[in-house]
Amino acid sequence: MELAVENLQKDYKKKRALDGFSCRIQEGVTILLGPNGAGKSTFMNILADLTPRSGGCVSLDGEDIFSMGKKYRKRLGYLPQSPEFYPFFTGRDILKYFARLKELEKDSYDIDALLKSVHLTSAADRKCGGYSGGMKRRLGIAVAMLGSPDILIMDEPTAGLDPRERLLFKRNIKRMSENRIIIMATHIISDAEDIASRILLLKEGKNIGEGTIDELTQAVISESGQEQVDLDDVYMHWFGEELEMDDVLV
Amino acid sequence: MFLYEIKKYTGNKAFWLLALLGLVLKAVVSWNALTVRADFPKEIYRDYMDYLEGEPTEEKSDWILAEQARLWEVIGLHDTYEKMYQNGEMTLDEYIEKNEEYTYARAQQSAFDAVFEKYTYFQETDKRVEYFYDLEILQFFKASGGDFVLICFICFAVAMTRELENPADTKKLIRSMPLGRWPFNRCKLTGALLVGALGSLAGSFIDIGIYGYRYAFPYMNMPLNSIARISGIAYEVPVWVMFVLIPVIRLAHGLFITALVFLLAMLIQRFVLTIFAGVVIFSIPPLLADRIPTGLARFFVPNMTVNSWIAPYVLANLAVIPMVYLVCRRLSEKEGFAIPFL
Ligand SMILES: Nc1ncnc2c1ncn2[C@@H]1O[C@H](COP(=O)(O)OP(=O)(O)OP(=O)(O)O)[C@@H](O)[C@H]1O
Ligand SMILES: [Mg+2]
Repeated sequence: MELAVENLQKDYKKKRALDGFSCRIQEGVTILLGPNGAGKSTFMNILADLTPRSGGCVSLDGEDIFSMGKKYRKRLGYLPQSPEFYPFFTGRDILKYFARLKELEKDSYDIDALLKSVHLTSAADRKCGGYSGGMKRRLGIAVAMLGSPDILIMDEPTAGLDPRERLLFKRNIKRMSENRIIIMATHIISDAEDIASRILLLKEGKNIGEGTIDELTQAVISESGQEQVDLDDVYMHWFGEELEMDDVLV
Repeated sequence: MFLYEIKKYTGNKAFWLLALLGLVLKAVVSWNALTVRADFPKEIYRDYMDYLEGEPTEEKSDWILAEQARLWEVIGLHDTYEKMYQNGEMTLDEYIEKNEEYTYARAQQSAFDAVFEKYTYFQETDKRVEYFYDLEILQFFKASGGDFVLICFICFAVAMTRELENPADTKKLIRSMPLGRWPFNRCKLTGALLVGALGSLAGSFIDIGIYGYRYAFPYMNMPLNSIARISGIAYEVPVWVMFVLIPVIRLAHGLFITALVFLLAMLIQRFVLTIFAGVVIFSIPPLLADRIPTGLARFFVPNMTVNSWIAPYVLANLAVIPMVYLVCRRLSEKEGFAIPFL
């Protein structure tokens, strides 16, 4: 399986959010890194066929995803950046309802196992209007994973999760990453270090670098001459240059 | 999927509050609307009609003409008596007696005008007609027109449920699913139509219930054509048929409103704006109905007479529904706002 992105462009009224973005995404966990407003969410929305693009194309194994329509969506799991649910539905209702919307066969998914995998078993029968931010996101993760789709697109799935839940999430992702394309945006470098097969660096709507963690650190080592380089340094190398001490509130 | 759509209404406490409020308001409005107000003494009219009840005959016509003459005479003599009293040709007691006769005759005259109107109409029509006391039935027809409470209920209920899915990320989440576009909206529209239908039927039941409670159901088998004020009736049917037909006409109209409000909600995607637009679009035409009796506005006003237009009217209302389904289908594939400037 391979998602090929060619020259993708997205223009909002005043803002060019994606500017000739190209990349190839294979099976495994691909992490999008980039500062706020870099275009990560925009990119993922286009990959999930939710936002019309201004130019370029995306194909899955050679087939244009935008003309695949429902066939593509049947293979897709998506988590938006700030999921909201019907407040008077219970967590279990939500999963059952979305299983219908995903057109899943009754015996092809196990809601209890899913709830367990995001630690929501005890809250499953409570109305999700009363869920905390982290619980909502975990429910969103469960919804995305529902029907174990081939392609998982998750926008900041770990934001707001407590350390224990984050660990659990990472374990789940690692277990799922075989034979699947998993694309995640995050601002938490340690998440990327733990689970990324590949990393994509985004800046102002452009792809400014991609590769495994090793490849990226090696590139920074050879460029800057530093000896010890980790992913934090890579990030600061690409995105940290404007940060001055003057910016800090005293 | 459809059951979850219904649950989006029934699971919502605000919806039940809205429904309760709607029912109470509707009951109050109907109670008032079904209070018979006439610009003549109802009891006198009732006495006349009780006396005349049944098919028109020669004797009844003669009697009506005679009564007319008598009333005119009593009223006409008033001036004479007044002069006689002023000239001292009549005692005070006599004058008071004559004056009372005169006042009563005036009252009778005003009720008799309605009787006479009926008599004239009966003379002209070739349809089967009968005399009977019809003020309450007439009131029921008047009360069954544009229904502001129902319009508000539908606008709020539909917009409220759509609002749950208006946040951008919720919309995206749903749209990312295989059935999250047209099948999803199709279920939503069907769910909204069901709620609109139940609302419309509930309104009709309240009307009929209040009518029955206050007046029982007399004269239900009389020919509907006897009621001159709703003339233009094309079919020879008894009165009770209208008590069945009116809920049907209103149901069609309720479905028509619901479908269009749903479309508005889908286009506007804003809670307050949807309600505002819906209420304005659907309640202005009924308010202006007397001034714009024909044309497009007629569509938005429930047409409550069984004239030959009624079948096309109901069918036109219903025909809008599949059209809304088609438009929603087109809109479902589009992302975000169908109206760009919002
Ligand atoms: N609906 C929109 N209308 C106009 N501009 C938008 C819209 N959505 C995003 N943008 C702009 O596009 C750019 C990219 O936004 P995007 O949400 O993709 O960034 P991001 O990388 O996800 O940021 P974050 O880390 O804050 O989530 C931003 O400059 C943003 O202002
Ligand atoms: Mg984002």
